[in-house]
Amino acid sequence: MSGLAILAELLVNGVLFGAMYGVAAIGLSLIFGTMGIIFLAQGAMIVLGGYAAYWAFRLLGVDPYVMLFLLLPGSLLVGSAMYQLLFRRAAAMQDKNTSLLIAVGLSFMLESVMSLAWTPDPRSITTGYSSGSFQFLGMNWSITRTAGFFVALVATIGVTQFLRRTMIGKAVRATSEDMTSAALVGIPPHRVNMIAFAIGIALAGIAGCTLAATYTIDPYFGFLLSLKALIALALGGLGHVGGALAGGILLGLIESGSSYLLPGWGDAVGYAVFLLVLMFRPQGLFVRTVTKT
Amino acid sequence: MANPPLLEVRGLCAGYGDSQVLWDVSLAVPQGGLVAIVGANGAGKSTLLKTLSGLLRPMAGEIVFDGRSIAGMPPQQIVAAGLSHVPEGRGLFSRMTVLENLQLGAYPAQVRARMNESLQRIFELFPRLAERREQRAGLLSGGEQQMLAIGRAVMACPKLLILDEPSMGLAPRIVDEVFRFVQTLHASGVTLVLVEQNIQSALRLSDHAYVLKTGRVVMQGGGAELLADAEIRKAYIGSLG
Repeated sequence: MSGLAILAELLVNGVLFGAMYGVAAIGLSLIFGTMGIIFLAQGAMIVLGGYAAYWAFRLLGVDPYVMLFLLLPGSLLVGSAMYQLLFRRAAAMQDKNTSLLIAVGLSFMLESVMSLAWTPDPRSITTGYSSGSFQFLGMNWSITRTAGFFVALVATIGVTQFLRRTMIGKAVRATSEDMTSAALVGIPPHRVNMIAFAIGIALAGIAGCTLAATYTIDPYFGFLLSLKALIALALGGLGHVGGALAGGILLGLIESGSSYLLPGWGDAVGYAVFLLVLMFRPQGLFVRTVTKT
Repeated sequence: MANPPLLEVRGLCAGYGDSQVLWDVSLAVPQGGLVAIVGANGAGKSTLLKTLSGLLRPMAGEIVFDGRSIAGMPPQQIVAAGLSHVPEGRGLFSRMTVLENLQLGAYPAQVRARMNESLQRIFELFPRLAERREQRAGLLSGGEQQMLAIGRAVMACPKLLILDEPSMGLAPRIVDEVFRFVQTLHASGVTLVLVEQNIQSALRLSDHAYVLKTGRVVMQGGGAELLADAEIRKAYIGSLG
């Protein structure tokens, strides 16, 4: 294969895999918009979703793409319960550090519990089609990565439609833009927080399921994923669901492109881009609205 | 007194953390009235409104609205009880469309069923909002934004509508338009509290007014009466009006 063909395939893989970062980033964006924290346990929740898919496959023979449909309602419920148990009190406080620390504590706790329960060994779901690929545009397309990409696309469209069309979805957007005004029109903050949080966890579940079907997971992979989702968010800019997906895809491209040019440097380049974005376009991360006066 | 006032505030103290801003504020808003609250910058007007709408918890005192105590209730319950507050700076969701802003105004369950009627009413009052329903609120002109902010509050079918500085940052011609609209709303039966630095206009419109200074009510009376009182104009209004 020529160098160019290899690069093209790498970039395609980057796009496909990056969409998963994007899904994780959409979850971060929703939670940040409503609760005002960077939910650093998002990666650990993705890994947990991955383990759910892994065990469902290993023990019950459930196909990971069937498992997606079970994980979706399951993780919505888990997310709602987590909000009520862990975050409800802290979310009402002006000081967001408590919520942030709960997220950090949760992340580390999940890591150790998963490691104790399921050993630190890396796991992956190996189905008949796991290493399969098909030919398209003169390139090899991995079945699982392509499927993961379409799952990400459908999840993004689903979230976008929910936010655009339902009253509670509009309330989530309104709260992300201006919490005080949202309260003044009668939007109950806890309801909106819980919905946004539950959707964030559901997106983690979806990402985890597709991740376990594509890649290997281990209990300590989560924090790295949280960081990647954060980078995707910084690239895409907060507050736009489509932007978060685009940011994830861009990160996937940057990582795969740099791993071609500088083998082994994919992660490092990703972080460097993150720092550069924060240095020169911090508004991409921290300013949520451009208010016209 | 024939009818109890729609809103009665007694001995209200409020502020932020340790710093108290309002001291023993008492006022009453009669059913169907248009009450103005005037005072210089920093007099505590916005703090008073935030306490009324539940954004701030009172430190002491009573707030009775429509026959029940609302002091310390969360904002969504106060809105549902029929008290809507259009904040200073309008508080629009600028990335959302005009229509979405209005729809969110009818968020409380009690009024959501009437959303379409209310929309119809707002669009009749402001044909321009109907024309721009699919535009982002942030792209409207200042006057249109103020109309939208008021319209959004009206979507909640409030018994009492509180307007904080509706004339702020608007050209005089637009201010007249906003005030004309305020009068129309009042005429349609909505009880209003108007908070203004634009004291002349506020006093002219109102049937009763309170003058706030450093967190206390220092004067009250009929709007026209206060406007005519040379002493008051000099002491509290002159420099601003």
